[in-house]
Amino acid sequence: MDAFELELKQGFLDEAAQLLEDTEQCFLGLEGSGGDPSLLEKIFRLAHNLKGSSRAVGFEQMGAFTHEFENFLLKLKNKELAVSPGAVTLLLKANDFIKTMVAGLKSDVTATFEFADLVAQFHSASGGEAAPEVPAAAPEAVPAHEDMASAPEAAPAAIEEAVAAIAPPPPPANKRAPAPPADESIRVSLARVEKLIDFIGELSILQAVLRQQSQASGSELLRKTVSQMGKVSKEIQDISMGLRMIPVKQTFQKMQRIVRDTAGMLDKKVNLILEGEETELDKTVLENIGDPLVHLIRNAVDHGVELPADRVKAGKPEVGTICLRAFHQGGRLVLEIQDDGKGINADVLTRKAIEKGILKPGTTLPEREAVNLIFHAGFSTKEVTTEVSGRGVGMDVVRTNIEALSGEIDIKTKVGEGTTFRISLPLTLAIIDGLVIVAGTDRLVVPLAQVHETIHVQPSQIEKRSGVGELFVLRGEPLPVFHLAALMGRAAPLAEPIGLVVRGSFGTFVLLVEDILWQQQVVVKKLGLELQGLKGFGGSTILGDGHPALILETEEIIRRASAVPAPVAKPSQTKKGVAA
Amino acid sequence: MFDAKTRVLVADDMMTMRKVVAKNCKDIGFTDIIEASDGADAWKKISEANPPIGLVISDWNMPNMTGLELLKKIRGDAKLAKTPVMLVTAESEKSQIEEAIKSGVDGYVIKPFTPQTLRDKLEAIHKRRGG
Repeated sequence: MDAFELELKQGFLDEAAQLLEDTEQCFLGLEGSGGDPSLLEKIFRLAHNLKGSSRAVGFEQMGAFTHEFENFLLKLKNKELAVSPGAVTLLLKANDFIKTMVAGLKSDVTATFEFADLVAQFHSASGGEAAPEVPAAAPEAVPAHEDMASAPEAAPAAIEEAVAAIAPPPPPANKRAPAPPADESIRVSLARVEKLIDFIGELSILQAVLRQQSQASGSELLRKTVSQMGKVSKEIQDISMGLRMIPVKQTFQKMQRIVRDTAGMLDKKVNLILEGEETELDKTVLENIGDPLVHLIRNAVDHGVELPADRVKAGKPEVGTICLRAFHQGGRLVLEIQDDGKGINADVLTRKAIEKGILKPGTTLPEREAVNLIFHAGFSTKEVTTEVSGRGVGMDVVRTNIEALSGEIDIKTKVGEGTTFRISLPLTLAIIDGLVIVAGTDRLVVPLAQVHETIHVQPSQIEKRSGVGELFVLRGEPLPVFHLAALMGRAAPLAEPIGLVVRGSFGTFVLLVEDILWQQQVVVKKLGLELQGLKGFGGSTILGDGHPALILETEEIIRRASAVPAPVAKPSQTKKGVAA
Repeated sequence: MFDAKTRVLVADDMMTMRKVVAKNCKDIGFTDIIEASDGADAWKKISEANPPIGLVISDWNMPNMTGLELLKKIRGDAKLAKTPVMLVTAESEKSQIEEAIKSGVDGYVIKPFTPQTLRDKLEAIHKRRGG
């Protein structure tokens, strides 16, 4: 296989994947629109294009399958078959299968596939005819495709006559201009974009160093130039970060399918409304939010929206509505999953938590905190755990995943009216807001997202309890205390430390540091090879004064400290009033 | 055969197919190849091209403007009417070829094809055109 052929094949697979994404909505739209001809036309063109191109680049199997797919579509298009839910399900299956083929071929261009079963389903749905190659719909069509490459088409005599009447072509052009590109966008691999961003990061670091040197030099002219260069370099950095941003559209549209399948399985009727599909988010963040989002959407269908009969009884429309929306707010991306279902009953949750021993008998919680119990590991309130989702099974994972992205999740719910899950995420993980702090003799950056609040701590306020370690009671809540300098192997309790209140996945704790210097945006750089074994640090950065600093992973460093025999309270015990 | 310097416009909404056709054109000696991503784009490029397009190789089934509509538009334009047009079709579109012939297509080629097939077809078109 020569380089061009391989490149062509890879190019085709990328294009096919894009086309399949673009068309997925059409498949789902078919059902709702009772077989809208323009949608059928679009899907038909997809199948048609995939067939032609896959054969042209030598993917014979995909050519053969899309050929069957096209034939089936032709029958729908010609109204020989009704656009029934069964037909749509079959189309979706075929669409999935083509996606599988594309993905399989992407990792191995020689991959082969088994699809006799699906083809048989096409045939039986088309009225059980046996001969696949000559469908009744288009008797004049298709010789077997093996012949296509070489088959000279039977040129009708008419063409000769028609052509004879046409005058000779215009004289060939002598001058040549460069051909303009056909596309206004290009595909670039993420690796190249990341490399670019990486180097721009280096550039802005050098820029910071240069600024300091120019200030030391005393040359006004140099300072001005460096300052201007700083503006340009900031601009470049913003643009380069923008390259990683992609609209949430594709991720959102996948949810249509999930809602359809889930609702179908549960005999529910649900309409999914998407808002803000064009809102952009860092590719990595978006990829990692996909699974939590699927879980929440499934949950909304399974546990949120009621059965049609129950909805009618409650005076609601039979069809439930789930709204998935994305928007920017305060430099963060907000995702909301809102259903108009039955809401979450805080009393039921509290009762369950007591039954499970998560809460002490007799505990009452503010409604907000009670609702948050669903994020507790292993918490499930549904009597029967369905195969679709079990609330509690995975909700803790959802929260952990979101928090790993420096995100937050919040619930608003009203019994009988519905529930809204609100996820707030940073726009990118490559630049973070950080607190520059001092621990021992080191300056470190603590991601602002990990710090819930900062407090002045008097040594006298720290209680030592045997078997538990040091505790600081914050508004009645006892929190375990850790000395950052000590964790890093430096000495000395501090005279007037500042406490960072950190809410981690395993609880809230206070991290004592010497001082907070300032707050700044930092470009996260991966640790070099020699430092990659260093636990407790998520990367490094260069501070405004040009000096390097490590970026702390607060939870990791605490976890590491807890692993050694240390006086550590089990942090989850103190979490948000859950348990004593 | 067409002069190698003839400006060729290749129209297909599938990038892969465009690349295949363009590569085939290159392989048989054409050096000035322009690509268009659908019928409307092709029409824009044909009507604006300077130097003019000397050969159009267009896909049949495209969004915005089909190959057939493109052909009719070219034939209906006083200045461009004589541009040779070849349509690239799938076997399932064969039945529709007649309309293209009536509309004045110079020839057609069925996907997938080899550079040799394309060459032969173009050769035939060129001959018929009296070249």
